[in-house]
Amino acid sequence: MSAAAGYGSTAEYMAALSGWLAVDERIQGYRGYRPASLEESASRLKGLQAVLADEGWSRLGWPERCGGLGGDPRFRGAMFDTLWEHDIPVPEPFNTLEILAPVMLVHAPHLAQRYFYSLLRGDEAWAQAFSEPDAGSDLASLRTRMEPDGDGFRLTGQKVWSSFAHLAQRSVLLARSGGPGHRGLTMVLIDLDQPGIDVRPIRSEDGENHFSEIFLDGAHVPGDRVIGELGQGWAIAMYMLQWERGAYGWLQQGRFHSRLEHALRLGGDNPGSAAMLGHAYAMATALRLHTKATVDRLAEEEVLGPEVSIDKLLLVDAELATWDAIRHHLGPAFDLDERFGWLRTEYFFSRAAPIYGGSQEIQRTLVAQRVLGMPREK
Amino acid sequence: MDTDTEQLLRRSLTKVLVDEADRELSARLATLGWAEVLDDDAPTAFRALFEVKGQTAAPGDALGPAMARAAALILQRPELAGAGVVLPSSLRPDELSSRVDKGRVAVAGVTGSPPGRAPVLVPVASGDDVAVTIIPAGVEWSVTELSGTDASIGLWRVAAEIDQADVELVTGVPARESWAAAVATGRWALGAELLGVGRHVVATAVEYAAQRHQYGRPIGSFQAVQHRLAGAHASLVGAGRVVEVAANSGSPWVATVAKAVAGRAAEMGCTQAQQTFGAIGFTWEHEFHRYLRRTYALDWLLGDWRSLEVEIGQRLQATRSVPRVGML
Repeated sequence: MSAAAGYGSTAEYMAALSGWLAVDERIQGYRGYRPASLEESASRLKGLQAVLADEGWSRLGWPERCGGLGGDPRFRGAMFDTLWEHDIPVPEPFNTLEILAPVMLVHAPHLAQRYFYSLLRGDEAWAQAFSEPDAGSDLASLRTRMEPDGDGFRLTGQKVWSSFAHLAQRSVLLARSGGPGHRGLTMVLIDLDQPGIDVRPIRSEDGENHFSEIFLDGAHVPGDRVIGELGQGWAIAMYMLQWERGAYGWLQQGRFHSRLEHALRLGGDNPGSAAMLGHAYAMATALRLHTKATVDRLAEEEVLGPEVSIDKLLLVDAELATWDAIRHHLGPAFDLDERFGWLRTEYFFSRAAPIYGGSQEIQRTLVAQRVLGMPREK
Repeated sequence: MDTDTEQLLRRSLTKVLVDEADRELSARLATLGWAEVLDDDAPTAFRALFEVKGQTAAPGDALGPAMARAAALILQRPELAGAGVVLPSSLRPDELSSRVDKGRVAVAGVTGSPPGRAPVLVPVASGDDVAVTIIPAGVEWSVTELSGTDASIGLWRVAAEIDQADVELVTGVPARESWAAAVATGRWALGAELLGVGRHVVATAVEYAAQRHQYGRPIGSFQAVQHRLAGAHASLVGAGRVVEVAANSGSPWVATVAKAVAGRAAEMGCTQAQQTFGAIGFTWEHEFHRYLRRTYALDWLLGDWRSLEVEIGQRLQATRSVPRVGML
C-alpha cells in the first residue's frame, strides 16, 4: 500500500498511476484484455482488483474507517479514467461499490467497516436485488416479504434482473417489512450462499449471463444486516440514486472513450462512419463533462435531487451513439467476425441502457415533473 | 466571477440587448463597462452575453468583436479587440473566400456589422496558407444586407478590392494562431447563443403546456408532451457543460464539439417546442418562428452541427485517438 500515498491532486495521482500501470508486471496481462465470457472476466479481474487494493490505488478516496486511505473522493473517478485510458478494464464490482458503498457508509457504517475492504479487494462480490417480476420501474409495489425470525428476519419472494448475482456472495435487497406502498420497505444485506436462496442466471440476448433471478424461500438475514432503519428502504433507495445515476455515468464514459478508441485503431478511414463517430464522441464528451460536474458535487457532499436523471438520460444517448458508431465503423466484420465476440457482448448490453436503472421513460417523466415542474397526471 | 455577479450581469445584459435595439450593440454594451467586465472574466461574460442574446433573439453583432478580441490577444494588439470580422462566404472557417495575390487584397465574405467605421479583420488565402488582413476604417466596401430565413439577425455580404500597401497583412504562425483562436471563440460563443435559443423555446413550451388544456387537463400532464421536453432539456444541459469548458479552456477542439452539441440540442429543442405549441406556434404572430429562424441562421455560422460531427469523426479516424476533455 505504499505506491499510492499522499497525492496532492488528482492530476498528480493520475500521472503516478499511469507510470505504475506502464511498468508493474502484474498489470500487463490486463492491458487490452478481451474476455471470453462474463464469468471468465469476473474471475480474472479479481486479480486486478487485489493488486489495485494492495498497492493502495483503489483505497484512495475512500474513508479510513472502512479500510480506505482517505483523501478526495475524486481519486476514485480518476482511477477509473486512468485504467480505461490504458485499455485496462475497470472490474465490474467497482460499479457496485460506487453505488452501494457511499450509502452503506451513511446508513450502515458497521457493515461498511466489516465488509468494505473485501469488496474493494475483490475477495467477495455483491449484487443488488431490487426488481421483481411484477415490480420493475414501479419499485413501490415490491412484494418480497420480510418477517421477524429470532434475532433476525426471514425473507420470502422472488427477485429478478439482479446483475451478476450468480457470481456474488452477498446482495443488497429491498423487501417489504410493513404495509403496502413506499413506507413498508426495508433494505438489507443478505448472504446469498444459504439454503433458503436459489440464484439462477438468466441468459441474455447476447448469450451471456448478465442477470439472475433470486428465489427466496425463508432465507435468513441477521438483525444487524438492516441498512438504515426498518421502513426506510424506499428513502435509502432514493438516496442511492445520486450515485447510481451520477457517479455510474462517469465510470461508463471512460469505457465509451476507450472502446471508441479501440474501434478507431481496428478500422480504417471509413467515410460512412465519420458522422456517427463524431456524434458519438460529442455525446460521450457531454456525458463526461456533465457527470464530472456531478462527481464534483458529490465530492463536496452536496445531496443531489431529481436532476440526476439528466445524467442517466445523457448516459443513454452516449451509450447508444457510441455502440452504433462502433458497429458501423467496423462494418460487416463486427457482426460476422469471430474475434469481435467480446465487443458484440458490450454492444448488446448497450441496448439495455434505456431500460436498466430506471428506464428512459421514467427518467424523462422525472425530469419533466421534478426538474421542469410540468403538471403531474391526475 | 461569482454566481451572484453573473446573475446580475445577465439581468443587465437582457435589458441592454432588448432596449434600444437600433443602437449599435457595442455602444450599448459600453454603458455596462463591458471592457472591464471582459478584463475580469471574459469566458463567463461572453457566455452570458451570447446565452442572453439567444434567449431574447436580439439583433446586434456580438460575434465579430468576440472573435476579434480572441485574435487581438494572440496578436498582442489590444486596440483590435472591438474590430469587425469578415467570415468566408460559405461561413465555414476553412473555406477562405478572400485572397491576397500580386499586391492586391480581394475581400469577399459575410459580416455581422456593415464595415467602414472600425477596422476589420479578414482571413485571406495567401498561397496555401491563411493570412489575416487588418483593413482600416475608410475603405470603400460593397455591402448587401442578407435578408434570408432570419432577416433580423443582421448579416451583410461584403466585398472590397484594396491595394496590399493600404492594409496590414499578418502571415505565418501568428496568422494561423490568431485565426484559430478567433474561430474557437466564435464557435463556443455561437454554441452559447444556440443554447440560449434552445432554453428559451423549451422553457416557453413548458409554460404553454401548463396553460393549454385539452380533455379537461393541461397538455403538459401528458407523458407524450413531457418526454419531448424532458429529452430536449437534458440535451441542452449536456451541451451547456461542453460550451462552458470550451469557453474556459480556449481549446479549438472543444469549441468545435461545443458548437456541434449545442447546435443539435437547439434544433432538437425547437422541434419539440414546436410540436408542443401546436397550431398556435405555427402562426406569424407567435414568437416561436423567430427563434426557429435564429437557430437555422446561427447553425450555419462557422460550421453547421451536421458538418461538424463529420469533421470531428474524420479527425478521430485520422488520429486514431479519442481525446478526453476535462479531468477530475
